[in-house]
Amino acid sequence: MRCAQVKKLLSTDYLDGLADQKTLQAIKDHLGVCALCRQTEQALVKTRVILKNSLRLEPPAEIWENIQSKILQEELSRVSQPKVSFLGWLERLLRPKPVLAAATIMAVMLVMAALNFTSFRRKVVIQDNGEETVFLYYNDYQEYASRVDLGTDIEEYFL
Amino acid sequence: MPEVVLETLKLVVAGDPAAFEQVYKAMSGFVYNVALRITRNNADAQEVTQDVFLKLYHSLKDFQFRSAFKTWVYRITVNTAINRYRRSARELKNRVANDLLIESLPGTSSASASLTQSDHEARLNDLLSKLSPEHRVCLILREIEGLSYQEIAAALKIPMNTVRSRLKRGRQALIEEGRKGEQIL
Repeated sequence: MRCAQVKKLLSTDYLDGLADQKTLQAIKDHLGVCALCRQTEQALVKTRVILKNSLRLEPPAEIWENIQSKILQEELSRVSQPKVSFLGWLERLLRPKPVLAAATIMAVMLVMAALNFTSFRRKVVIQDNGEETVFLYYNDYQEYASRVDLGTDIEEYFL
Repeated sequence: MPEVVLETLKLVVAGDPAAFEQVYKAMSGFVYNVALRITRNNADAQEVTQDVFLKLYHSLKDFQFRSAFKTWVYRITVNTAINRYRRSARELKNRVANDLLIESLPGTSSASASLTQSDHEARLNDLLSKLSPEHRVCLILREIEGLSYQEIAAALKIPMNTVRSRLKRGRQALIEEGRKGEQIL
């Protein structure tokens, strides 16, 4: 067995008593001839002793007192809250909510404005000879503006 | 950790305060000591213990008993303690862990015995502080609380091989730290 393999097993299965007999014997044989791995084994055992001998503290009494008091507080606040019946719940659901209504109206107006902006559609009378009227529809504002005279150009006015 | 029987748990769900106290007495030692080792701070450990038992009290009615109650407590404890430790570490970057823990040790009858125990705790705490929370938790559960690999794997929801490799790395890191500081070895 190589040192790397022994070190890995020392830190796990060997120390935790999970190595089978064959592996255990192989590790022991290696430890008999390898001083470095023997040192590692001793260090691992010493570390384990320190961990095992750690102090076990009793939980302070106030923890249980705090838990009890928190539970009691929760129970009291639950009891003090009036129980809501189904009809009460329905009534509360259907009760007018001015803020919600205002927000809904605003949202609807915004959606309509957005739709109006995106779907530009303009009807233009091209020809009207008294008998026949021809209409042309433009879906794009740019195209509409280029075909139709919208009035006095401000630059021309000043020139 | 003493076993808590199913009947007691059913009584807790039914709202029996005496049964809940029984659960607390059986489990609080484990919860508090694991929390203390992970957070390395008495105030945090107390808070974690309180939180764990309040979580147990509120969630016990939803517990399906598919896993062992003990494993469930291990998991809640470790998760709550790690979260608390990380939060505290962020809040208090320059924490003086050893001082905080030693201050929390109860007085013993002999002053010299107290000093030795405090010294031992300080060395242990110093070594554990060098490990990442994941490695520290594995070592605490294995070495201090005596859980098996299977129990640790179930509590942390990790494969057994991960438990093995975390223990290996944790132990080797402790040896290295010990050698570096010549503290214990």
